[in-house]
Amino acid sequence: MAKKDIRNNDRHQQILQAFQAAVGPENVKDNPATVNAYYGDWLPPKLLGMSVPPEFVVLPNGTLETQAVIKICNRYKVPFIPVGSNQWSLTGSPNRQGTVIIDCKRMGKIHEIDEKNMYAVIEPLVTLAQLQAEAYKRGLYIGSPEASATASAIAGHCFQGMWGVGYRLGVAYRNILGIEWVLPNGEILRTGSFSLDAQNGFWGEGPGPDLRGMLRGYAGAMGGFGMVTKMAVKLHPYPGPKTWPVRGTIPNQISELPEDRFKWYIIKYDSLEGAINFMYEIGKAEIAGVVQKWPTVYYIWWWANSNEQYWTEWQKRTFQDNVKNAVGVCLWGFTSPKQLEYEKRVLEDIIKETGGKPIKQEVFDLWVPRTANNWIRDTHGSRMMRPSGTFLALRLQTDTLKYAVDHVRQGYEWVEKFSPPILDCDGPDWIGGYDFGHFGFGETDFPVEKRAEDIGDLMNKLLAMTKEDVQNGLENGIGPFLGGPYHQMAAPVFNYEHLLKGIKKAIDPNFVSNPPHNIDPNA
Amino acid sequence: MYPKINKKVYERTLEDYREMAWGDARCNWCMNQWGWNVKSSKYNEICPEFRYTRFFGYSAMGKFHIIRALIEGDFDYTDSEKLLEICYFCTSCGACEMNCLRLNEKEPLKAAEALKARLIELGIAPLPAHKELLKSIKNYDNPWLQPRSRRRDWAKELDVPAFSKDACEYLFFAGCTPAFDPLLQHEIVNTMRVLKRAGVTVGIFGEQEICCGSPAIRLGDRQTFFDLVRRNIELFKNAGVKKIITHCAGCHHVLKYDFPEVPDMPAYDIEILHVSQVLADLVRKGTVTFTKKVPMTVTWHDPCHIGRHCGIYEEPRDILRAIPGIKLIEMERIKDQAWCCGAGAGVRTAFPELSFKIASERIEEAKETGAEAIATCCPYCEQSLSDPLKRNREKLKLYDLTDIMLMAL
Repeated sequence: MAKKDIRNNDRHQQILQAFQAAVGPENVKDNPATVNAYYGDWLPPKLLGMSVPPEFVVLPNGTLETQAVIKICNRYKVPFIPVGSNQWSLTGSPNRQGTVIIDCKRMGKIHEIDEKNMYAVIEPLVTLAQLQAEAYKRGLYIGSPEASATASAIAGHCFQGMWGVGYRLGVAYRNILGIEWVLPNGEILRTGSFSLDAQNGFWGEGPGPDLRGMLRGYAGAMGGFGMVTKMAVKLHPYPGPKTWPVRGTIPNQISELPEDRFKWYIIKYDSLEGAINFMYEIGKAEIAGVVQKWPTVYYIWWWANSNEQYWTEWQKRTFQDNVKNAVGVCLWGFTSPKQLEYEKRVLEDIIKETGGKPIKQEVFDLWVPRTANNWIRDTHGSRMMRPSGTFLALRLQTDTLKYAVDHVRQGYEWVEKFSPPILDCDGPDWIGGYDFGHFGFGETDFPVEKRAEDIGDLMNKLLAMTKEDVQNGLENGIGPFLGGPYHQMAAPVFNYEHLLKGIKKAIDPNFVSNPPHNIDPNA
Repeated sequence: MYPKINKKVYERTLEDYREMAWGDARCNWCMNQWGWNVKSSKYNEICPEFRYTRFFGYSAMGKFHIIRALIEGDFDYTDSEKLLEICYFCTSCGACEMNCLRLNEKEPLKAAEALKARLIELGIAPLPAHKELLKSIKNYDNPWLQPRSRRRDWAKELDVPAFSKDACEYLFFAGCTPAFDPLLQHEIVNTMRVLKRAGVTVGIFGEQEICCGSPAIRLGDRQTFFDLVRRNIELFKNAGVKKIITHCAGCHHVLKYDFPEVPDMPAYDIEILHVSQVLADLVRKGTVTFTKKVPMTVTWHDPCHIGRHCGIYEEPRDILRAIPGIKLIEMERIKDQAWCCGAGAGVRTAFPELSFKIASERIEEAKETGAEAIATCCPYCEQSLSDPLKRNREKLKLYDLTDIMLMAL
């Protein structure tokens, strides 16, 4: 029996015509092939019953067209989801019938890069790789979190941004200088620098009201607070070459930065505590550009050129036996080669004092040229998906480096408990810091078989454990990436329920911006 | 880990790609250049189809979701008026597969081509413009409605022998497009001249040559392709061919990598070489030396079907570098990350304006290098790239690799 075509519905036609009038007929699609392409996120479709195809996909160009589209959604009270690059999104696909995807694929301009004042004004489709490439040409840089070269730089800045260079630049959202933002009710809000001058992104802080904090958060608002259409972001002085140095064709690529300005070390400790102590000491000395404690599984995820190589090397224990409790440090001669020489001497003293040992030279030589610079400029991160089809992350937190240690240890237990379908991953403890280690984060990432029956069951168990922890007043978990469901359980416990619901009610009275994210005000 | 599909490519059905489609990673690497390679904001994108459509469905990632929905019955093949366009806007350039294979070990292009094959099986495809090509292949053994008797015309002025296993080390597989199109015949004429000067003994099939099947398989017509493959193999075997030189990138890709993927393929042992591989080897050995200076800055356009699909990147560059006077300068998107010319998989035939936009972008990229000329080695690339050059009366020159070699010999 033929399925009922929703497109014959009068209401559908009215909404279609309204969108067509707003953005042009060629920029609105409602045919089954096009809308089904937006079905599902990177976790398996239909997991937790979350996926349905959208009813419309609309591609506005610029703030005013976006505003028109969002006003139509409010007029007809239809839910919408703003989509950036949609890279690895977890809340970027519809979970309700009749959803409108507002896709930014026509908004990819870099409006300006102000070299003197070191900022860029960008649209939502500009990826971190694009912004990095343009910044390098001008002697400036910006980081890219792991696995995010193809992600929207704006979306990346609404997120905390666990970038390798965060040690130096701080969390990503603190690098936001100005935002032009269409609220869920269709109003345009200009905040930060843009509140004074819609083109000038020089200085994010006052005078006057600054609502940037509303948008920023641990993992952003998950599309629950409308759509950012323009942002000014901070860029920073960069001592590297104007074009990223890379040799070879994929997957056999090597990237080596100039030796007089960049120097990698991988230093091993007997315990995780020893490694974290080393990170603190580096922070105290205020040296280095990247300081990260990667789990064993990261080394091989990023390095292996194929699944076959991944599993062969894993079985040989090349990384498990050599990089456990190791810290990767990249020293940067920001101002001159002399700075690099100075920092080398400081670092070598710290290594001696903390009892660290360089990893075996052959492992260093195997790994560093092919892989290490991903923490300055990502390219291999999506390999996290390859060995098993996907990965999951839990026990994410941002607090101190020390707290991260306790937290990832708890993560080990969860991983152990659910292995399989979680695959062998040798204690997946990723710990990094921001602002010279004053602020730390930890995360437990692990490969897991991407089969509906396994992953669905696992996700439900992990959610139940998260809920239990939250109820015990212990904040953690996979939750933030689920936006609404997490806040629904955590907000009453951690006493931010009224604030978050109040914001949502004020700017999204029709509850149309990617419900139930960021929180359901009526629940 | 995704179960490997332990079947030849053309034994696979659309359903064989279910796991890959279902497990799409939403990583965007099918649309963007490999991160370390991005040199500017302007030339970041890599999928020509997505570049000029902007909806996910036109990307490899979107197609995986469409395939999943079709397999699971979420919509039917005939429900969407855009399904054919989504499938046939793709030039089969393979940029998506290059990146996805390396990151996720998935084969989005092969999956998309399996979808085209399904549409043909169901009688929904091909598009009207493609029907003519396929009909011509069936009737005339070439896609261009040309009589078989004219297939050897390009070689009239040349002293090229018919292939015989005793006299010729190689068979030169001329390909339909350069053989019949007078504007492209210089490519194979000059190839023969260069090979002759290099002392390579080569013969042709002339009127006996038949289409390699590239247009058919790129459009999803597996049965026509299988038939051509079997007939070609029979011809090669009967003539005692052991080594084949190709010029056309499409022919090269198909002969080398698609022929063995056909089900129940009869066994054969034939080495397939692209002319740039043979000549680069002779240049390296010193058998071919360039005596004349060619003072020109040149940028190389990697044809997708010898580049990404076959890994031939350095050979043409080595040849150009060996020519006195030539200064080789590179575009931003090169080798495995090269931008397509826009002609492939019947896109230039069915959607000339889309093809024109894609080619124009490549010409723009070439012009930005400051080069005086763009060189390539594929008749489809030459056709497609010449469109914007002619329409916009550009100063940039377009050469085949063998044109430049001949200038230097």
